[in-house]
Amino acid sequence: MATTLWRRERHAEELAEEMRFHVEERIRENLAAGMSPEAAERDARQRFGHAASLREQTRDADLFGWLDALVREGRQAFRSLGKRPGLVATALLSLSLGIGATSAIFSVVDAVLLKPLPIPDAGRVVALKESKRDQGLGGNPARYRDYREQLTSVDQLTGFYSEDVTLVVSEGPTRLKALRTFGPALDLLGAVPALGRGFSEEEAAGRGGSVAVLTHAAWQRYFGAAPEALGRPLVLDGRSYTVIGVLPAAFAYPEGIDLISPAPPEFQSSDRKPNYMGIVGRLKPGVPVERAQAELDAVVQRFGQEYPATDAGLRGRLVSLQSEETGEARQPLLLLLGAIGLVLMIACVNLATLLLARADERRHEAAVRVALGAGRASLLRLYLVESMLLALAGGIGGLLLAWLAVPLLQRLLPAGLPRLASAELDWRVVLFAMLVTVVCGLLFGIVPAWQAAGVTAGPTTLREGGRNTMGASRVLSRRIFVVSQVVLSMLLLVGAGLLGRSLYLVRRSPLGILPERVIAVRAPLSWGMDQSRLLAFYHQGLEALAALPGVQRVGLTDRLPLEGGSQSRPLRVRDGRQAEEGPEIPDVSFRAVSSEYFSTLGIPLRAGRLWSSPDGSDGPREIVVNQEFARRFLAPGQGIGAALTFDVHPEAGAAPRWYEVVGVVGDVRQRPNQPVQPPEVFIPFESTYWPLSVFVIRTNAAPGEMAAPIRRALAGVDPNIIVDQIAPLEEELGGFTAADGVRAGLVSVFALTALLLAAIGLYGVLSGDVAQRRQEIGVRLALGAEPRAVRWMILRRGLSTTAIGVCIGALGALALGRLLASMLFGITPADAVAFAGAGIVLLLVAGIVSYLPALRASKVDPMHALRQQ
Amino acid sequence: MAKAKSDVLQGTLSLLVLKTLSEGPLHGYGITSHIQRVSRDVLRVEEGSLYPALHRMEQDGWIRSEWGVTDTNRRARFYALTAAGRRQLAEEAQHWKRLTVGVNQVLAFTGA
Repeated sequence: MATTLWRRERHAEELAEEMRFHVEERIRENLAAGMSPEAAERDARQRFGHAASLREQTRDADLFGWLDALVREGRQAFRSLGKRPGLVATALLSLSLGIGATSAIFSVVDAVLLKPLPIPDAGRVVALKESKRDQGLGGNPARYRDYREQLTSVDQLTGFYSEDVTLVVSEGPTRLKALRTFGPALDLLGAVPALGRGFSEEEAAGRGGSVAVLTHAAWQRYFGAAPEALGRPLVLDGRSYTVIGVLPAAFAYPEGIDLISPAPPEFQSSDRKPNYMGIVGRLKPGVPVERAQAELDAVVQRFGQEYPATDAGLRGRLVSLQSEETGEARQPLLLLLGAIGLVLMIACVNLATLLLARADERRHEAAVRVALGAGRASLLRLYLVESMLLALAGGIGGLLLAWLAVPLLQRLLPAGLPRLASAELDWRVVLFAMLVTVVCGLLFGIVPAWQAAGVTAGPTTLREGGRNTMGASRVLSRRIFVVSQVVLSMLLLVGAGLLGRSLYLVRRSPLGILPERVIAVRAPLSWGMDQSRLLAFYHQGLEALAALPGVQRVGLTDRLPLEGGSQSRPLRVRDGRQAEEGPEIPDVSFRAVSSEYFSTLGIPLRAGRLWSSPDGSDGPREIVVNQEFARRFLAPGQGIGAALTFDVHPEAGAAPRWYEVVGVVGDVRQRPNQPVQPPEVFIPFESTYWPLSVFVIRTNAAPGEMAAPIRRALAGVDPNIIVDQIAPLEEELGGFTAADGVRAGLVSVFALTALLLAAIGLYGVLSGDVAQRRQEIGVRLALGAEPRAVRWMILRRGLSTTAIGVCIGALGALALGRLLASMLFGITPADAVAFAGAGIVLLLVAGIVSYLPALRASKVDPMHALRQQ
Repeated sequence: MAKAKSDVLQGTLSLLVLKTLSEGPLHGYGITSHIQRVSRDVLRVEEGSLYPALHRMEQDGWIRSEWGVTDTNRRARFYALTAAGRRQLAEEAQHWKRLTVGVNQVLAFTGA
């Protein structure tokens, strides 16, 4: 190809020389015939006609001609761009920023959502999700065993749950993350130990003794990467495990675990009641997911008949593990990508406007080219090559920026995003950036190029020379550009307004507690610690903390307000209205707290009293409900004294355990995005098993001064307890809405960028208008028009253009707003405040931006403008 | 009104060029002036069609070109007839003769 190009190059030179010779011969002859030198030359050239197109035609016969032309035009575009550093800088800056930000966000989207999970044949790995009455349900070991036997279309069915275990090393206790498994977990994950071996079938079933496989990182951290680690005992939560293998460093899924160990035998052989594990398997080769689903439906149906007490109403659904993993992250991430895409589009439109102005300046040049025989196609190509060159430079700059931005995004985005850490600038992102670059180049190049190439070689164009005039279609294109920028900005501003307002409402709406001067202490214990030890620690901990100076009250709760998540159970109510128990109320969330929890957080007692003493297995069974529960399920005024039970389907012969409602407390918001407070039941923490409880401490000392005494107090109770976090409650509460904050913040930044770009676009168009209409304005002023009227004329133009954009944008935002619905709190996607706010901001900015050109217009000197004619 | 100088009839350019070159190698400019001179200014070859035609004919293998020096010591590309071109010339000349005979007969017809 290079030689062909070179040959073509020589060919072109030869053609040129041949024609030069021809023209010279003609001139010579003309002179001999007695023509003046000028006439002789003019005649020769005229006769030759379209020298350039002649060359083009002769050349187009060649396959590589266009490529050759491209190289030539690339050089030409390079040279002509070099003369416009301002344009190049603007383009480079806005494109680099746009493409950079888009690519950076794409790299996160790619890592989190698109890339297949790092397990073999990830596309065929499915999660088995169970539910009852549309409420998600954890898996159960007994059901898992049945699934594994009966599901023939799914291979390597594996159950798992994760837990924090405590390893006591010389520096003190450390927390390790363990993946506890049922069945062929290592096979499913494609994890072949690099050292040692995997689990035997006996071991995997929990029967071959306690064994564990370490991840590479854990092996390095806790065993100094010593091969002797194999066979060593590892004491976790007081139970000894034998290390039998070490996973390769490349093992990447699941993330962030230290070891894999089969679930202990008592878990593996548990009955059908507890629901806590995940179930994952791989579709057998050639089996479509629909067929596996049909089989699962049949199996679940049988379960319901065989075990009505536990499995009635059970549903099972197979979903791809990938989508299951990324489900929650999907929408917010796509929202960000969409938002930054809009910003990039506005930047492109801005560049298109700039290039359009440039096309105007170049009408003369284009006319000359056409006169010399350049066809529309070749002009189009020349100008497109120019915009592509700009796009390419922007793309390279963008990749550089993305390279800087990816680590920033990783720090900024919520850490809970799966595989966020694996986001990087790999070939997929580079490919994406290149694609975006080409699309941008076409997007902002095509209209100006088309218009520039539409120049005719007519004498008017040539005579007009460099004068700055614009055709009607060009004026229209520029207006359409500005309108589209306003439309896009409107979309972003409304989006930012909705998210911002929602966030404001989330943070502003009453929580139902007084979080000031409350400290939250997280010291999660291990699953598997027995209940008596658990309760002993919590009771002693509460006492020790209450004894600290500066502490006013201490409480214990399973979850903090706004933290979300809850345990729920169906229940029945028996109150004064009916002698018999009421109907089953499905899945009421319950919270396990200490009785001091309410006063510590300032939750008011609305009626009755709190439970008097801890609920032992045979003590008084008392319960507290929230106001919403009382409103919905208890007879008005007779709530206190009603009874409720969680034993909805008591086993034959067993009497249900009834609790007496002794008090009603104020509603507390438990989830950030839940405008309506759900009914809740509070039970004494002693009556449930929950090792992840949180201490809440109301103090009159500064939180910073309390940290050390709190640690000492808890260590005094149990030296092997790990205190994960001591933080002011307000900080913790802020953390629960932090992801929303980041999202709203990013979208706001995008929206402001869009606003700025649109403002620049509008300003450019209006300035162009004023410059072009100088004479007309001069005439108007000379004929006695008020400067104010002239100002208003320009101002009106800016405002009306913006208003059109605002209206179209509002319609678009109405249509797109539904996508945001699930992220909003307390407002609908058609929130009037957000829409009006966005419109007003745009019109206000349009007014400010239009004022300068308007002022300039009203100051045109009529005499000066007319003399220019 | 008849044009004093008619453009070369569509399709006859190659015939004229081939015939011109059968006299000996010539450059592009030489070809135009030869045709114009010999036809006593009746035929005029458009430069715009000459060079594409030359290029095409060269690709078809009827003529070949090489760089030479003119009497005035200018470098120029000279075109010469190939054997294939000679055959093509004979064929086209034959075709042209038949065509003109036919046209003349139609023109000479005055009716019965």
